[in-house]
Amino acid sequence: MKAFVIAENEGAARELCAGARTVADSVVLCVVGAPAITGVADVCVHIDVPAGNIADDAYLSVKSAFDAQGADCIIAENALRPLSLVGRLTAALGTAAIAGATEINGTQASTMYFGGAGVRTANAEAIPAFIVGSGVFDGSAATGTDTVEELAFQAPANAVTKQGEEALPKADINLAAADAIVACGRGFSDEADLQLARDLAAKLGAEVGCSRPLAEGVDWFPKEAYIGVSGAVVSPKTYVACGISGQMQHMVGCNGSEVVIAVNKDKNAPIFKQCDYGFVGDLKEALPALTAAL
Amino acid sequence: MPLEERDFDVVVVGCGCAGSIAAYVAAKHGKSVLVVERGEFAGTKNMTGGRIYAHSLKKVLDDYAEGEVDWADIPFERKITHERIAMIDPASNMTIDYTSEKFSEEGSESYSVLRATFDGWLAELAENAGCEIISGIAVEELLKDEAGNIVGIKAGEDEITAQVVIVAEGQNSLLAERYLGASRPAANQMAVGIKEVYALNPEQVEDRFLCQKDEGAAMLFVGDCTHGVVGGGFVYANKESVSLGLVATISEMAKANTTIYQAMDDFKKHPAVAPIIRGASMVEHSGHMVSEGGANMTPKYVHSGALIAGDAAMLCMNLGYMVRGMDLAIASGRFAAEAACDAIDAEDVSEAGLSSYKTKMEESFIMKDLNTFKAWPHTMEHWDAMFNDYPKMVGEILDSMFIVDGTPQTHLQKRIMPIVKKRGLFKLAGDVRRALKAL
Amino acid sequence: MNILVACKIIPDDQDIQIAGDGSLDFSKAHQIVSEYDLNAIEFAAQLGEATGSSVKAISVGAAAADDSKVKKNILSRGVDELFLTADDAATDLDSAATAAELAKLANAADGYDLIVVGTGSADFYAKQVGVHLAAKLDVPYVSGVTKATVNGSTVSCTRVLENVVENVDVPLPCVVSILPDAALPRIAGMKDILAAGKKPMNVSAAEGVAAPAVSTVSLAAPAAVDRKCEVFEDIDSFVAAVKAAL
Ligand SMILES: Cc1cc2nc3c(=O)[nH]c(=O)nc-3n(C[C@H](O)[C@H](O)[C@H](O)COP(=O)(O)OP(=O)(O)OC[C@H]3O[C@@H](n4cnc5c(N)ncnc54)[C@H](O)[C@@H]3O)c2cc1C
Ligand SMILES: Cc1cc2nc3c(=O)[nH]c(=O)nc-3n(C[C@H](O)[C@H](O)[C@H](O)COP(=O)(O)OP(=O)(O)OC[C@H]3O[C@@H](n4cnc5c(N)ncnc54)[C@H](O)[C@@H]3O)c2cc1C
Ligand SMILES: Nc1ncnc2c1ncn2[C@@H]1O[C@H](COP(=O)(O)O)[C@@H](O)[C@H]1O
Repeated sequence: MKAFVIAENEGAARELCAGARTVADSVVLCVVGAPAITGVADVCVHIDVPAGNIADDAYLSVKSAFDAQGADCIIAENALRPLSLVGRLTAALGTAAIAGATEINGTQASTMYFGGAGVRTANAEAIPAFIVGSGVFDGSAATGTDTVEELAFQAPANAVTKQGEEALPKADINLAAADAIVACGRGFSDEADLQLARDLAAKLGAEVGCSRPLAEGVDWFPKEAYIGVSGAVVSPKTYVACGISGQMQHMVGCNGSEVVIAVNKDKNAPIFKQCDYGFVGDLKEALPALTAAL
Repeated sequence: MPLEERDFDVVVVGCGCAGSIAAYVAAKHGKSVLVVERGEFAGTKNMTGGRIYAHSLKKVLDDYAEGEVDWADIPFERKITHERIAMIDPASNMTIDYTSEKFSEEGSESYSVLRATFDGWLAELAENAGCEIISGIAVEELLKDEAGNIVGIKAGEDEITAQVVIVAEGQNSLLAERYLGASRPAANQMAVGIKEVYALNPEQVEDRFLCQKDEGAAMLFVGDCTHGVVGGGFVYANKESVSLGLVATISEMAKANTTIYQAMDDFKKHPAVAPIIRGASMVEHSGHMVSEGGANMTPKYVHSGALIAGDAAMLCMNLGYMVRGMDLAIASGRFAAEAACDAIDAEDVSEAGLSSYKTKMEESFIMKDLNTFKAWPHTMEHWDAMFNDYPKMVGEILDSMFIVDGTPQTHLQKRIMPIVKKRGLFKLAGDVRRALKAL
Repeated sequence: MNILVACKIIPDDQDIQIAGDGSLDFSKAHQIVSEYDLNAIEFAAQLGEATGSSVKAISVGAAAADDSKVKKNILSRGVDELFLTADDAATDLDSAATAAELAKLANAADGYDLIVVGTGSADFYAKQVGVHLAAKLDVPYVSGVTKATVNGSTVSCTRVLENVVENVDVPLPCVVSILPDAALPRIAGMKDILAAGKKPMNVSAAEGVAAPAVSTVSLAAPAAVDRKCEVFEDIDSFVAAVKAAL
């Protein structure tokens, strides 16, 4: 069995290639538009993207790489460009990827359904393809030789033209490594009140994160700061959820925490069924009290 | 604006029991009808203990459905065949179980219901009859012309005109208060109700309530369930769940040193209640205001261009051991629609033109029952003993009857009299007489 | 110009119940538009207004998707016409089969220049249907779009990727997948909803649905996480409990 991995970030490439080793005996990594990544697979097929093109449009080259390698299983990184590429590749192969795989077992994978309200096991009837998020496989287990094969970018007839690009500043936040996280939700009605969470975080030596709505629509937080099924999946020792209702889509991101503490003014908020210690009341009362006491 | 240029013949505000039926009846009279409901779905925001007396719905369907509706298709939960009244205090419980063939007779039967499904069905009934239903929007204003007649509604930027607006907003109707002169009830005229629903499978429900298949029981509690605060508790058997809750007067609640949540927690832990929901998980919870009701609270419900129906007109009776309002809501919705249609046909939607609503209400069970029970809320309010001391007394009496512990026993009367005397025999007799008169 | 927007109609996850045996019970669930597809609808509607184009919605779902309230909801948000395949044969299709059905609707909708899709569906959140649709129609695809302006035969888009913002020109016709940030859903008014009821709704059964490439083996509620669930209403006891635990 040969696995074909599509990834662009080094960390993801490590994790996915390590995971691919658990299901296949040989691993091909395909990197498009980013520097070649070595030491994680048996072969790295590297496709450079000309300045005026976008990586997503490399799908013809990716398909020929896949055919040339004769791979029989696909694993892709959950990032926008790899998602485009795996979509085009599976479409060309007459199949579809199983997204959000949290466990791969032959042609089957477990996935989140409705953001965690259900766990669905799906089976690939044709060539199995899986989209895998971060943290599913252990990147430190990745091994491989350093063969890099360069492949030319082949533009499709109706190619997209790139007019320019601008690197996004890297957000100064590292939820994955944090021992404690104070997470803010829509219960904060005023951006200034976030200081209450920051004060508590300073006391706890914690990072400050949020639910998705605070990083989208209102941009009180960078995208990297939101926790949940489509954001960061974290497992700190302490997780303090303030003004977060406890929807599944959020909770699957922090269920691995050792202790979950919740503050919510609604006694019936679902989070109270999913926490260790809860306070029914205003976060403006609870946060300063916690900060003062700890 | 001339009547024939209005956007709709009838606009109904609120898609609860009163609103859906009003819309349905008006549509059946061939009128163009719009219903505006603030909840995302009909029934999502509505609360009820969960038992409906079916008579008024039956009459509406008999008169209007033309055989299109099969009674068996109505999503009732269970037919109530057992009435249980329990007097509880923290240490004891006395339940009377009553069942009668009369409970099953057409016209006097009652059913447990869950509003989300039942109101959804009612809304569909109205929609199938041709009404337009807009949900997810709260009506904010009633439109008036220069003369002060109601001519339509407003929500956000949008104004929609109608010949007659039927306000069926439920309790705490802001429109009735702001535009139709209804006064806000005082705290001692309002109760707060909270309710939870627990899932069980059908056999468990039947076993725990000792009922036949598809049948159910209604249980009403007085006593410790409200921490001695004026009010009562209820438990209804649904198809695959149990509804339970408390009703307590707001002014009393404020005085007592407990919260309704605490009272609810205690109620659920009481030995009379705990076994019913043992091991079951909560699937729904809600809280709502309910007026104590009675004819004294009913506001003026006929206005030029507008009628008020259901709870918005305070057509609700809180009898301490139960709340009754859905059958009144349905009947008043129907009468309002009939009056509106007659007025529209006669091209006179003034207060006088719509006055047949008042006549119908006064001739029907609605105003008659509300008048009969007029004194009850008052009696109940000053009858704290009913909610704390008397249940305890019953417990003490029964203890003295049933506990055999080797202490030499005296005659029953000797055992009971000291317990009753403690409360004052005359006071007790007086309380009972007052209560019976009010009921 | 013809703008299409693909939106998925799904059961409301708030109404999903877990049955005694751990299976998911959808029977009481209302049908709603998948959360982030409301943003896609708004984006398409605004682009339609800006370019004076017609906006049509396309959707594929189970028979329950043919729900009057949800159809009116879609059409009350600046959409002119709806094309819906509602059929139990089209339940839980994989991305390829969904795209194939959407492609049929796109053709039935009398041509397309720009097809907008959401960031991901609330049930699968695969972010795959858009690219499959582009592949099926053999047109360009870009994702992560937050802004778009149409210039003649191309649409200029800003796309926000994980580490970079790209400005791209995409030849029409094409499929664009937008981020939720691109447009916040409007709140439809009474008149919008009333007008929606009068707009054309083309609802059809599915015909010749492709054999699935991915099938569901099992579906169940996740194992519950064991927590203490000590909930306090009094701040001092809460603070004391937290202090003792940390
Ligand atoms: C496909 C998809 C993917 C998603 N992915 C994610 C994800 O990865 N992460 C994520 O977080 N969400 C995600 N969501 C969104 C998710 O469904 C919820 O909408 C979101 O998590 C809700 O955020 P919240 O709890 O902050 O807000 P709300 O649900 O609005 O809750 C706010 C809470 O604050 C409480 N509150 C209000 N005021 C106060 C106060 N003064 N003091 C204390 N409490 C107060 C309220 O009682 C309420 O419970 C996703 C949704 C979809 C459809
Ligand atoms: C705890 C409790 C227990 C009860 N138990 C029983 C019982 O067992 N049996 C019984 O018969 N009765 C019972 N009742 C009373 C019963 O629930 C009410 O009498 C009945 O629901 C009244 O129906 P309605 O249509 O007038 O109002 P509602 O059912 O309250 O409907 C009003 C509708 O209007 C909508 N609305 C409100 N404002 C607006 C607006 N501005 N714009 C648009 N829409 C609006 C609301 O969302 C709602 O859907 C109980 C009540 C309570 C609180
Ligand atoms: N059944 C469907 N009907 C209409 N649009 C869909 C359907 N499934 C997916 N889409 C569109 O494709 C996007 C991505 O979906 P998904 O790949 O399932 O995450 C969604 O946001 C929708 O815009």
